Amino acid sequence: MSEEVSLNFISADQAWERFDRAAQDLLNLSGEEFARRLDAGDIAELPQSPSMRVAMLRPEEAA
Amino acid sequence: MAQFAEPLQRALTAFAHGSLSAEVPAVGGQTTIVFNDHTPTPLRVADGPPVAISISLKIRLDDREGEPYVKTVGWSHAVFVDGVDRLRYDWHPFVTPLIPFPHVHIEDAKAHVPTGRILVEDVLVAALEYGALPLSKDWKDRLRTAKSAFEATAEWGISDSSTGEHWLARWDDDGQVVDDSGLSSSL
Repeated sequence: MSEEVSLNFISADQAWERFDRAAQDLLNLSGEEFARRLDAGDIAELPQSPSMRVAMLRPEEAA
Repeated sequence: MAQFAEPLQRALTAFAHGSLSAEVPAVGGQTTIVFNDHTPTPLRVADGPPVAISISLKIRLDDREGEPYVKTVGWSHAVFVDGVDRLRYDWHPFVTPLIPFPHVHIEDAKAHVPTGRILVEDVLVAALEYGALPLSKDWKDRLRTAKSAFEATAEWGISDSSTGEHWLARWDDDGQVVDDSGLSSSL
């Protein structure tokens, strides 16, 4: 890991992979399933962590 | 984007290592700037329970008379102690339109306690209160520089700098509390 805080620009695919990985690790859902439930208003604990941590990572293309 | 992120990098570097990452949005588009994939990043502590932070900012890239302007449209930052998010500062109207105001969750409670604008620098100072220590002795200058950069372009939520400066005087360059007598007498 760098001794500083670097700034990395990522691709749309990498952003989706990051979102998908977080959904799986934190909620045991795929990113696609989390996005579907989010759009359906079906994330009961949305205001709480870790759901919000995942929601913040959702790329705009999926909005 | 890089100009917007540079003060964040300088402030975060005083406390942690890692990377900020983001897609580059098209003009009018949004993206999330995330520190270490929004996972809790451990900070240095002298003793006591481990302290960590998570940082993410939702931004929109606007066009201001031909010039790009990065506008913050949301955030979700947390201070973790012993693995529990004791403070989570949120503003996410794009996800929860019924909760359109900035707020803090305390001790992972469901209550949304309204706040003003919360900067990454504010989160770092909150982490100090839970026992985190800076990595560099110039941490105050880094926070001041970051806040000045924000104030130069911010359209709302500019805080009282003199009040913030008074609060920073509570800690020395090593992040140790130097004098709590005034705090004690005020409580």
